[in-house]
Amino acid sequence: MTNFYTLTCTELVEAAKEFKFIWLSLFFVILGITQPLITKYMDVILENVGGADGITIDPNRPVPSSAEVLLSTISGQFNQIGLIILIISFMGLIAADRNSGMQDFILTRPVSLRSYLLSKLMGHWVISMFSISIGAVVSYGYTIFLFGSFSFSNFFLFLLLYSLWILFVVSLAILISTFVKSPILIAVTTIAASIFFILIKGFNHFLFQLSPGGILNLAENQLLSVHDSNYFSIATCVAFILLNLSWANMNLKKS
Amino acid sequence: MNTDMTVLLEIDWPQILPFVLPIILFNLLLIGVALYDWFKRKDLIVSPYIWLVTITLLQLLGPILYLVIGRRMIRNDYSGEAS
Repeated sequence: MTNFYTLTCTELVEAAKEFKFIWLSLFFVILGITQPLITKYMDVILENVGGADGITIDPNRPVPSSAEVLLSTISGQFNQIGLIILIISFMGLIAADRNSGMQDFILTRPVSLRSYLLSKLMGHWVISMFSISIGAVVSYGYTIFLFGSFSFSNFFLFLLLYSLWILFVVSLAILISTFVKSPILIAVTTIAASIFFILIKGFNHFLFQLSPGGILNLAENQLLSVHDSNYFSIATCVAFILLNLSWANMNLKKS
Repeated sequence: MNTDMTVLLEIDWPQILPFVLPIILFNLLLIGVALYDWFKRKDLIVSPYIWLVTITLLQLLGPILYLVIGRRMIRNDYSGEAS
């Protein structure tokens, strides 16, 4: 297990040297504060910078609750443009190692393939969740400041479940990078696959709830405080992550 | 990018400033990080001045694209010093 620890630390140090912690967090903070501010001040923005007269917003419109604003921040911003940037930021996670010959160098040492893959997964998951947590917490702060209070424990539970989805995305990127050589193609395929999973989770059918995107439904239910959630999707998500990893392990062993 | 600068004069600044300020601040911070890194490795990377334009003019996406892609594209020969 010491190999795993050392390799994970290497990943984190490398990310710190590339300022990845700083700029990824900044990006998610910007995404996180933009959505509640735009929702709150839409009429002021339209009045001042719209460039089009005659657009009015119904003054009696219902003010969205803080849960709805948080939900739109996460599913509208973090899960679309945020996910794309996140995947682009770790598209080279195995391909860069392979192209520079670092992979052969590591694997000729007494390091098992499993700890190599697990360290990749762990390192990139920690980086992503560090940035996403900072962005989400700042967004949470702005939302309760502008729209009223919301229970922090629900939000924390949501973040915990969302981190499982990020774990799945990282494992998907690892799996795809064992098939495809070029980093750009890896990014495009991973983005397409994860958006596909986000799309099919919307269908309200038992089979689709078992897809890895089902964990997102569960997480969103924590925000909306729906109580009849399907906690089974945690198990299926973990099963999918393990499946991805073992498949990647098999592929790398063959080559 | 919006190039019509006269619009800026018509905006009711005191009303819009309190919520636009954090976004501008964080954007400037991001651009600052990217520019710092660009300045350190502008002799190393491919076509540095195109990346400078990208960082400064493309809002939010430019610095990120530079930090993800641009800084990895290392020049492998030093024959084209002029670019």
